[in-house]
Amino acid sequence: MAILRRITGRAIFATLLFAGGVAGIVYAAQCHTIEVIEVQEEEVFLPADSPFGPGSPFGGVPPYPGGPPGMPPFPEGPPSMEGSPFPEGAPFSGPPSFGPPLPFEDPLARKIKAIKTTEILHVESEPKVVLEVTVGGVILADSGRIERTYIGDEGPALCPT
Amino acid sequence: MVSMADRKPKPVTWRLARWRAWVQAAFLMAWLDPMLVRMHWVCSPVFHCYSCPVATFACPIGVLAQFSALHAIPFLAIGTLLAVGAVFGSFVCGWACPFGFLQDLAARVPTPKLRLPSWMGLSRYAVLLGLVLAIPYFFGEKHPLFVCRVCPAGALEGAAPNVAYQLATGAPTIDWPSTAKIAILAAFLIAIFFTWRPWCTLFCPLGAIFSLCNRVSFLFVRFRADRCNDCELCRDLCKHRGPSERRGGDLRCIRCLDCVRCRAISVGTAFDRPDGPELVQIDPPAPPA
Repeated sequence: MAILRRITGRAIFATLLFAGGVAGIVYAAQCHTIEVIEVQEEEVFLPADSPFGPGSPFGGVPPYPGGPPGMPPFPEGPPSMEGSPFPEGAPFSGPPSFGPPLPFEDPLARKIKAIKTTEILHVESEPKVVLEVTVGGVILADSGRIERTYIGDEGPALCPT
Repeated sequence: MVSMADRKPKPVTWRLARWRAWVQAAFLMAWLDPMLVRMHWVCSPVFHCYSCPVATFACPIGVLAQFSALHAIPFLAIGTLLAVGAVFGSFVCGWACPFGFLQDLAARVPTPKLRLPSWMGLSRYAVLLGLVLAIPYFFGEKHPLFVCRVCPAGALEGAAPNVAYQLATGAPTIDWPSTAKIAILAAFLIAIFFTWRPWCTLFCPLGAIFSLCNRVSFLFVRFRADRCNDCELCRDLCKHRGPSERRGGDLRCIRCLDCVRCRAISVGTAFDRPDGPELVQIDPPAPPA
């Protein structure tokens, strides 16, 4: 009976609180993980003739699908030669003794510089994130995801606050 | 006035209370990274800035605020505070906190001391809810009222040594703390000489959490009404002048145990029977007259 009295009242609250605290520590150390995005930016040179092609980092969307705003849409295919005094293809054909001109490959003229961003997802344990926040190594990005403030293995040395 | 309590055998807690400064100093050595192993992935239960060059552990309040800014739940910090608070309550404030130790040392300077009214202790909860949880959650860690940006512990333990180091080494850029942070640090350094533990009494969010644990913690300060003879000794001994019958659960109590010289005040455990003997009393009973 005396033991029962001791484990009631204040002791039971203290025990529950202590057990909850220990459970929180164990859960944080063993189970709780947090997704952290590492954004890497890289300068790349893209082909100028197809900057928005299907294989480019920008995806397959042209800048103005269907034409610029307020303008009629671009015609599909080459312009029509109907009604022209010249026979079809005459002004564009080369001299009969020469073949078509070789394609001119100018690497500077035909490529544009762009920033290619790559997001790497890290699933970090909570102690690792605690370590990161003590030096300002992670922030909440505008996208709502937790993002690293540095690239690579060496993080900032001091908390920015 | 000499009380009858002074002529009675002293409990072991009173003897222990005389060593409080040494216990605080011993804990300070633990927080100041004596092994040069920075374990910032672990939260300590005390108020010690992790930007301090020799901080061993992470500050739980800083972690709470940073995780609030990340919209994540810091189970590690919450679990540490719950586990420690469940056992010790605000004993941590009085016996282990390095920032409290600094204020205790400054309070030894013989200057006139201003006593703050008890209701001002509630402002700590405003700091906890506003600066530690709400502002980081809604405005992020770049907000000027983010707790770490105004914390005097961060200014004293983190910013000041790092600025001094950068000046000494001739660093190309100096990370000066904000004007608000410097002003708060200056006000704090003045206040600690003229009132007892101003930060702990008015603003400390960690003390606010541990104060809540005081009501349920294993170790607690117990008031025995049957031993009280209204001599007011316990009130005279208390730095906060807290009422004796409420001392066990007083929100501002840091359990310095100065009041245990009074026989009506003792340290109990959650497993004591309310009317049973004190487990910490080791002196033999007085012989019968």
